[in-house]
Amino acid sequence: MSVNINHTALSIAIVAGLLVSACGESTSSSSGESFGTSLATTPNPAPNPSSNFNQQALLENITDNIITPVFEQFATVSATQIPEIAAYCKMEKDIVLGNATTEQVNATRDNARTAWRNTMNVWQQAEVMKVGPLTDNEGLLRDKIYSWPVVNSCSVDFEVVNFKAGVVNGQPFNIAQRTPSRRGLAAIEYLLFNEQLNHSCMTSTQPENWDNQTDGYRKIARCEFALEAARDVNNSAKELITAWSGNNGYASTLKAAGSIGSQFSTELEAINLISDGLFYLDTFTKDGKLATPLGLQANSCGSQACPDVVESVYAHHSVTNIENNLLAFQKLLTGKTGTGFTHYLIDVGDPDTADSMSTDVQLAIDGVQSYQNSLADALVNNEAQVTQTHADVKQVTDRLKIDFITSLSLKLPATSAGDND
Amino acid sequence: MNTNAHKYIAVVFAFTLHTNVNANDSTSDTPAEYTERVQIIGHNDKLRTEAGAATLIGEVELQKFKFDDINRVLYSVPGVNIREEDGYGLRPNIGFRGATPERSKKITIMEDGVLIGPAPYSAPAAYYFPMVSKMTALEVFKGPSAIKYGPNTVAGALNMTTRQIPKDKEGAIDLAFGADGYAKTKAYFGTTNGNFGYLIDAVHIEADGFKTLDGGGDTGFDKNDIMTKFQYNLSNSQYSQIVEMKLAYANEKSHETYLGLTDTDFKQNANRRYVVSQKDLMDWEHQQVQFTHFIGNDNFDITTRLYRNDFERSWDKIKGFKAGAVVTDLQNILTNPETDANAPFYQVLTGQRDTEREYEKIILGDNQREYYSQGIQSELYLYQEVFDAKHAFNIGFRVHQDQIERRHTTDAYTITSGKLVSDGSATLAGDTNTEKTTAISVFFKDTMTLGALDLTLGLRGEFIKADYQNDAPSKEGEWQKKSTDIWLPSLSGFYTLSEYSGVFFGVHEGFVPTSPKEPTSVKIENSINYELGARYHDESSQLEAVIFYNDIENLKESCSFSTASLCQDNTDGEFNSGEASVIGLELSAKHTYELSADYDLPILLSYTYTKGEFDSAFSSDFSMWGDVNVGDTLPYLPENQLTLDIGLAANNWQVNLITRYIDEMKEASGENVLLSGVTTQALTIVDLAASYELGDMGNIYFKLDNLLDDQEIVSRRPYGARPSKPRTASIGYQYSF
Repeated sequence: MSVNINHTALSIAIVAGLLVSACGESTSSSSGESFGTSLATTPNPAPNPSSNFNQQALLENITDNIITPVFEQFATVSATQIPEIAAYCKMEKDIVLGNATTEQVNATRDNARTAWRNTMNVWQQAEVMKVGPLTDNEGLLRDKIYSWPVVNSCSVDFEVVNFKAGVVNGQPFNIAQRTPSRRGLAAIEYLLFNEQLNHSCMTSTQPENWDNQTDGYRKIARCEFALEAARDVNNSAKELITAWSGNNGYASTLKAAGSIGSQFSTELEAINLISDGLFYLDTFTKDGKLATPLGLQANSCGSQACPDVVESVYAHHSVTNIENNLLAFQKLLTGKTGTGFTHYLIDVGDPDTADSMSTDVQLAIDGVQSYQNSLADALVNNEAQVTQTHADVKQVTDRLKIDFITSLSLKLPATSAGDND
Repeated sequence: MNTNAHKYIAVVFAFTLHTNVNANDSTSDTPAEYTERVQIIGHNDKLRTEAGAATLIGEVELQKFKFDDINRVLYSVPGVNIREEDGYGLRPNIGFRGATPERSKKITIMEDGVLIGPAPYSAPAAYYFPMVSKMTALEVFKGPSAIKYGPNTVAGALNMTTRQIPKDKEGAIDLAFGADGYAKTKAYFGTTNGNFGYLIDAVHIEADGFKTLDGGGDTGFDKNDIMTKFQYNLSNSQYSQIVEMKLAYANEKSHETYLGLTDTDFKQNANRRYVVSQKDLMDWEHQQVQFTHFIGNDNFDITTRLYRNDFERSWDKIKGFKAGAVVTDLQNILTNPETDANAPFYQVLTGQRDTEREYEKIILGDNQREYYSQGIQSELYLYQEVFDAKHAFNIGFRVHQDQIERRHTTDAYTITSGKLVSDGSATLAGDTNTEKTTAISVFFKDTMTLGALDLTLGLRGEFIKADYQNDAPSKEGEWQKKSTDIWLPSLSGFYTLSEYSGVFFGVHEGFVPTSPKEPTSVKIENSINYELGARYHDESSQLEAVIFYNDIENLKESCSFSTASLCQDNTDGEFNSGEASVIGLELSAKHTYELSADYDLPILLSYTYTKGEFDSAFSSDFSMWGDVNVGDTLPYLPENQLTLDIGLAANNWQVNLITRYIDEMKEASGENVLLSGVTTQALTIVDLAASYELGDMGNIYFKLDNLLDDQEIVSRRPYGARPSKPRTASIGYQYSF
């Protein structure tokens, strides 16, 4: 029996030992050169030994000299918008009291509109720089500033009423807690530029008694909510600056890529995020702002030219928006006076793509700058011009999606992969 | 059949619940050992002295409710957690002891002792699940009793037994019709002439579906399964020896969808289906070839199986909206359908509005896949005395290979005038890759009888070589070869207290391998599982109570459309969480009250308490996790489950009523994912079955599933709220000879 017990004890000891020692699991692997989804393991493209390009310089130039100035400028112009709208609101109130003339109202309204255009011009450049804080939380901060193409004028009509009442759903109205399509630059555009004072709701629920109010009441109400929205946009601009700048800002994070402790193990990972931002030109500018109103992509007019679905329906600012998208893209591509992606392309031995993309984007800018009328007008009277603009932009984005990405060993953003282009 | 025989059956109905059913004793001409190698749990009425929780649901029990839905069968097994999906159990989600039920990927699923998942190593999600209606027994193994069955050992194993070839000429036909166009035709015939026996067994089930598609259309399914077996008995005076060939073919066309409803729409009509799902279709075929050789005598036996399963499917279904300037996903839209951002998409989904933007186009994804699973396995039972102790050795190996070949495509559609219409664009290729695994498994079990103690030592080895290749053009360089080796020990014991009772304990290591595609940075799932239990078994009562504790070192999950995850370009990609633990109590009790000489009242009670929680904080993109804190509980794990099964059996009729209660379940563990803080609704389902014997003319039966017609949200995955099956009546006739 003692032998038996010893035998049993030995067996138990072996099993217990195996259990405690995590049982000798071992895993090994070998893989192909392009296996793995992480850029952390993607080898850098072969550099040109005679070039003085380096990825760190690219990141520093793009963050410090291109993106940061745009974000800072946006904070400035969005602040400037506030007093201009406030002045316009005051004049709308004054005219109701008989203390102002129509000319005075129109003048302040035009100033407010100009301030909005100036703000939008800067923002349209920032749109191509969607990295870090502008992509966090599924782009919530970006959407709070400008939610297009998710816009809803009826919702804005409701917000005007809610703001006027000071209460929504039994709670004090707080624009900071409202969904993006009810605030931001798109809402301000509707409020400042829309000449139709009746509400725009086609739904079964509509703002109560709105259409029965006097013109003055409605203009003042809309202007006051525009002012509130402008303050909110400026708050979002400050939030962006806070998240971007400073020692702990995202700009620093990008520039620290590849260093010990960085969230990016290689510079290429950070560069790929900036590259993702460039694809705004493909998805939004080419597809949303041109192909959709042209009817090349689905629209509400049955896939034919459709002026009602241009980006800027009320301010007729669509062409300028496209121009600013292209200008921002050009700055990022060429690096302005510093190191840009064209330098990187040359460094990896693809000067053809660098040259052709630079040429193509300038051609597209030239084409857009030649517009004499709004995009909506052009769709009706000169559709060929819009078609050409689309082709010009597509020339750039086609190279972006293939030559640019391939030469620089970057990855396509998920939303751009597998489209029908 | 005389009245005594009826009474006998009634008593058997009462006594054989879950255990000790040998449905084949009266028909099988094969050695008892051979039957046991197919159907694993013992057949006698004595106290079972194997350690480890194991449950047998025999043919008599399966016949009681004649469920076609594996979920309904397994609800009465303690320790089983299920996420319902389509109401019919077409693609079940089964977990044991807190393991994620998603596509039953963490349990080992077998048919007649052979792995039956489409590619159990390379892609363990069980999109093919055998037809329950053709099974004569189901066995559930948990705890250390599962160490013999791999590759997954974290949770347990489910073995389903098909009909054995009968000794004499025997056959039956079963016809049933019911609500929602339900129809079942089931028949088998088999016999043994001398040493040669054969069997043919066929089942057809169809239904129009209980959901109503907006704008009209099919929501039902059509399933067929035909199986043949041929057997030759080579036994002589020294050895029992059997060779058997099994051939099977099955197919299914089901107009199923991953799309559910918003909570608001669910409240108005739980059985509604949005128009956008009108083209969704699962279409698969499954073929099986299996050769079995058995040889043995009183001292040993060896069972060897050679198998090949082929599975091919096209699963064409709504995948989401076309990505573009606005990117959203179906789960988000259905969770918050009224926001300005989601309302236009919701209106398109429901056909209220036509597609007006490119990003409002519907993408249908056809996830075409071909799988195979093949191998050879053999196991030896050897009974020896070593060092004065009785030993029962069980040693086996398996050389297995499986493969999944993905050829996914997508097509774009618009909603135009309330109909789903192709936009005319070309079909685009999606995931195009192959994952292949070759695995050698060995196991060793030694049960030593040391007086009143039966002590079992077990050891399993898995040696896995996995290959991944991206087959898309210009992606030749995306490949990986990976090898994983692991030894998985177990220790368990049963101490017999008396003829009727005993206590048992067990500890074993749990393992889930990673798929071939996953980089080595994704770790295997690894756990140490403990259990402690007691068992009582006398002539009229059985009781088993088990406490278990699973200490999980690294919980692993995978991304799939069925989890409503935006997998991007990483379908079936895997996620690691960290440490987690599951503790639980499984309790099953049954007793038969003899009301009079003519009436018996069998009762079964099954209760499971489970609490699974994360022991480490982490943030994950996996849609069921999110930002998890220590102590957050696991998703889709009800804390309490209770099943009460009461029957009344007379000489020529019987009525059975089964009531199940399932607690609410979390849809997501942590914060900051879409379904954070959302739970399924607690559910009570009552099913009724009654049958009446017509003497030599067979019997008729009546079934009423979900007697109370209580439909709750059983899950909000894959996309949106989905119901359990509504009240469904059916009537059937069985004749056997």
